[in-house]
Amino acid sequence: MLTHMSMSMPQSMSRRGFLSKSSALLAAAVAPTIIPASALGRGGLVPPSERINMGFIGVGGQGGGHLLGHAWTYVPGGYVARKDVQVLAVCDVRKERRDFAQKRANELYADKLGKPGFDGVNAYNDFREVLARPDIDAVLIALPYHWAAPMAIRAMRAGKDVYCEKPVAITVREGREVIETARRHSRVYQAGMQQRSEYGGKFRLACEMVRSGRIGTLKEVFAYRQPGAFYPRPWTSTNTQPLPDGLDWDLWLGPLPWRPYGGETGHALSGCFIGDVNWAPHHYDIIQWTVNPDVTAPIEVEYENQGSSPETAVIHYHYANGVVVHSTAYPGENVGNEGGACFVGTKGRIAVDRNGIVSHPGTILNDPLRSGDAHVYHANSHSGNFLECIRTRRQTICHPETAVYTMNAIFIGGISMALQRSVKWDPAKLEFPGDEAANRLRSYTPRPPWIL
Amino acid sequence: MMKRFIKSLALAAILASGSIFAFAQSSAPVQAEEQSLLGILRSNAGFAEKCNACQRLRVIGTENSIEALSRLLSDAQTTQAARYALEGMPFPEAGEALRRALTVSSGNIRTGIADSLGWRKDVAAVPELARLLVDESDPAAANAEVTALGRIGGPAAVEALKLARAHTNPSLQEAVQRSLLMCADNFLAANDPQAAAGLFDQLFKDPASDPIRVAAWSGLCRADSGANPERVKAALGGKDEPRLLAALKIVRELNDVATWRACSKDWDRLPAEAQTALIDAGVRFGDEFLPILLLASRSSSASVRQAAWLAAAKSSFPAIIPSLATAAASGDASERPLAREALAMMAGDKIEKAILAEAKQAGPAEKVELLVAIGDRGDAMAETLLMKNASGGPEPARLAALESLGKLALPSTVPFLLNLALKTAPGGDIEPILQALGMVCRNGQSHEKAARLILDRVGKSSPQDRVRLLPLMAELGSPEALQATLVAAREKNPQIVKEAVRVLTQWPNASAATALLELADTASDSTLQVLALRGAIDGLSQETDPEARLAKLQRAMALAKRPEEKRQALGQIGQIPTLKTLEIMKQSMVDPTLVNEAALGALGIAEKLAKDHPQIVASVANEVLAHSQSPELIKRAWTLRGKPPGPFVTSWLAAGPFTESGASSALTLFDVVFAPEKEGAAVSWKPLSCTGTADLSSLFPGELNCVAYMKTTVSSPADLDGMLLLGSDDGLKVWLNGEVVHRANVDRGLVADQDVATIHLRKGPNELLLKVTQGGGGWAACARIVSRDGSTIPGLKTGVSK
Repeated sequence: MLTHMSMSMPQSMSRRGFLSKSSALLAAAVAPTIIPASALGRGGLVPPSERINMGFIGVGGQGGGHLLGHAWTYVPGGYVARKDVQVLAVCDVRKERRDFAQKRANELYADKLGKPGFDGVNAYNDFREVLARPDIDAVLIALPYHWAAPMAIRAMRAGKDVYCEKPVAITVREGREVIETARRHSRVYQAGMQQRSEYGGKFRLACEMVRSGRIGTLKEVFAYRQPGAFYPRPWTSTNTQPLPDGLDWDLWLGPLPWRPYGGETGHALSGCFIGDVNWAPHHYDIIQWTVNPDVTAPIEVEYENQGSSPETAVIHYHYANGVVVHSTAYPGENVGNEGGACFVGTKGRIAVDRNGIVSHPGTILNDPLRSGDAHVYHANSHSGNFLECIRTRRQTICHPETAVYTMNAIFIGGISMALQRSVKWDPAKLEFPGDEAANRLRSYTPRPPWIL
Repeated sequence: MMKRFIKSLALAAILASGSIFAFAQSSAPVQAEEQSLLGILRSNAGFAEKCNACQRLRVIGTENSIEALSRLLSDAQTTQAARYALEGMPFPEAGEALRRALTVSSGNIRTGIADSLGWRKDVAAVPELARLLVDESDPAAANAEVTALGRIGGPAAVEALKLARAHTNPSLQEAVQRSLLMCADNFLAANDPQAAAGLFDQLFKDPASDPIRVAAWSGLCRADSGANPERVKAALGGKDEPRLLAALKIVRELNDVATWRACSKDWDRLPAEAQTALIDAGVRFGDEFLPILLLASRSSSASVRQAAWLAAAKSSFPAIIPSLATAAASGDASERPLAREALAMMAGDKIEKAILAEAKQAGPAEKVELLVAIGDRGDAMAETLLMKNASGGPEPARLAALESLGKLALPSTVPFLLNLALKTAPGGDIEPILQALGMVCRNGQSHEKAARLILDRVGKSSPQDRVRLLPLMAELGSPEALQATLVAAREKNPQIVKEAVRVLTQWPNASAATALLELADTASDSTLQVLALRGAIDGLSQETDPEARLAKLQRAMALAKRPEEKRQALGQIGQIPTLKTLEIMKQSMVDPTLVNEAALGALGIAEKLAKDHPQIVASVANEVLAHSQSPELIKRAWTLRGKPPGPFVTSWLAAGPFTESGASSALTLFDVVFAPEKEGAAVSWKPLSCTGTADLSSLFPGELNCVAYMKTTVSSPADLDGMLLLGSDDGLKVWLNGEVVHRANVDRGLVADQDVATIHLRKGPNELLLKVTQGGGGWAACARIVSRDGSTIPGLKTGVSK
């Protein structure tokens, strides 16, 4: 195994450099920053010097989908099919996954570039080798939850721009470090909360309608989803299964408490989390986008017991602006279940999810938004927005502050569930005022050497 | 709700008193729990049990736990869990325990302890961390000590890090520099920008990697803002890539007009990226931004122009409108939507007037864009201009104006639009005008006024004009509009009657259904009868009262002379799940022209009623099996009918596992052709016997992402139709005599008879082949064959040929 390669390797701008990617520092500043692909290169491809070189860390269902184009990834043909991207590396601790991803990517490039036997995509077990490559500009991270923030932080320290699948952090502390690292190193970071950009703009429409007062004053929101938090029960286990060939279990485990391989290599080890941190980000991201034009935040989490287990509890968030967000569904309203929410105001309500958007009364949605109405960041492709921001250095539609702001709302709800009681929250200080037990659950101790 | 409100008040009172935690910490049960957990730590319990106790002590542990926890720090199996508990404790004694352990530990244990001290910002640990760092031989521990010093910060930590930079292994340099960056940030947070700036400046000047230089330069901008105008200008115009990259972000984030102004003075010399960043930043600086925006709008760089249009959308400069109109009309494909969006979104009264003025003088293509923008914006002041353009002139502008009149939905434009519609010559393009009127009708705010105006006009119109205006009645959908349409439907003029009936069939709610049924019964023209009947049935899909809906649908059934309309009505009756409608379906099943619609409806109703009326389900299923020939309906009936008595196949041959290199999912293997599917290919078959479910995971243990095959011979006493009932974990593909008879590419658990396939068996031996996919976990399949009515087939034998 490699050790500390990222520390010992000199980090520099990629070989061709940022300037040639953006193509704009062209001598006379006459060429466009975003070059129309149709005008350049073979078969509409952007010339190699102007493609964004990418590495994919984690090529299971989600990462492999981003790479090659499957459901949930919203990029036909995946990043390999994009004319403005060159995939150089795939990385996974499971040999069969990285070998498959490498084989398919090389085959597709061979076909696309007209170069039989193309082998420009390398496969890695150890992500540190990917991050050490100076020719890689950006990485897409699609890993088990506990690796998301540590990997994004390492990648940004190594000078890479980052697309990170949610949940982008598992503790308040990790989230803070993600924000700090992106800011410190001026990196472009996009969180995989793609509902802001995809699904035909339904979520953006709901957000702008509510912010524009179409339902009157917003009073309540129904989130259809429980929040969650990292709360390992048990801390470790002695359950042991034969280690499958080709799995680097130690690297899979990374910063989590050590335990023998027990047959689990999914998104998370069972028992590590209370509530939901995987789907909840979609719901709460849209809610916070809509509730908080001025980025106010929940200041109190009300815990409502609903039986013997906190897993069935109902959470009510009280926001600084008076809005209350419930973790439950709006009674009788089916729209909202698929990553959405139901916003209830003094003059009506709007429910939205991946499958639809409805209003009561129905006429609310008939009146289009006008020039004086509220408008939010507009992007129609989540991955496209990421790549565009790599070129322009603009902030992405789901930058670290936004993503972590959502995760923190989820975490404080999860911590309330773990403690089985209500809590207060100071969003500026990122602490529970005077509540030491809750404050202790804002972080955990990573396993050496995987310290941040 | 009241209960919740009271609960909220109580909660607020508790939270206000801050007593929850105090109660939790001082309560006897918590103390007892802590003692119990400490008992585990001090016992001979296994490491997992001790670690799990630490997890709980993270939440409830007090000073009393520190001694026992600190004893676990030196054990590699428990140190991480012990740190988890100690690191989070606010007590100074926890820090002392960690510092003591730091000195006597090594390797990963020391790495972890140093990390915990760093997160605790334990200033007292600085001397020991500095001392250890000088001779640290473990690279991971050295990295942790360096990182901890960075997190703790302060002059002493900075000195230790500077010393480390001079004396330690070169491989640590990146970590040392990163920690110095943290120290500088700590100075800044502690309101000591001078110390921070000195450190950032030194780090930027020292040999370092690009990420460190980027961070140092950005830090310098934050710590020493007075020098930013010249510093950022130099970075944006220079060739130092890390500085440029950082400057492109900083200039957007700073919100500093002095810096922006200094950089903008160099506009012509700046590269496109820098110009773009200045545009993004400048939108916050009011009128001062306008000259730059205008320059950007004329840039030869598409990216700069795109940035200009994005910024224009957030601004209120009338002067940019001509450029936007030109870009919207004839810009690059990438900038046209941005320019259009800007025209639609720019806010302010001045903008409304400016767009209006520009639209009066713009060229044809630009005018179209501006007319469209007026509608998107909802600029009511433009009513006159829109009406003028809608009245005549070039077609694109006319259509744009009509569309915008529709979007504005002003009741005051209704008379104009009505006149325009009626003035349109026969055969002329009236549709865009009616569409605009329709949009006015549909708008919630203008609906009522528009309705009055339109109804009044329809009442006074000539027969020919009424025919033209009748479609608007369905847009209104009100009782008054219905009344007016019904009056038209009873007139003598056949053209009016026909149009009125057509409009009634388009009615947006169920209120026209009764009248349509009446027309279906009484109209002299058979075409109108059918039209009315079909419209009535369609409209009844919106009837919310199930009894009224059924009564009217039954009348429609009675009036229907053709199977087509009867089938249409049955389709709707099937959506009303009652015993009465079920009976209607059963009776209709005997009519061969209606059997499938009736069977479909019966099954749908039976599925919904099954919970409360289990006894009827089997009888309905049997009726369907007796009458329908549709394989899909037969399958559904089988599912509803439940388990038949027939025996399972108990004797198989199995082959496997088969997979492809790199297969990440069994789903991808479903259609991959392996040897058992190939004619004449060599396959090694193994006998597999079972009582019902054939367990492939026992035959091929520990397999993932693969498939296996099972085959057997079915000997039939005659040529006959039958049902193949199947279950599988995971997916299943089935061949009978080489023909695929069933496919289910799924990830699921096995339930006997969960799938059904209709099959035809030939007399004598038939070869049955199953392909069963395996993603993970269980892996099995089962199958049996029965007759179409569910009974056992006499003389049918299954099993492997001996």
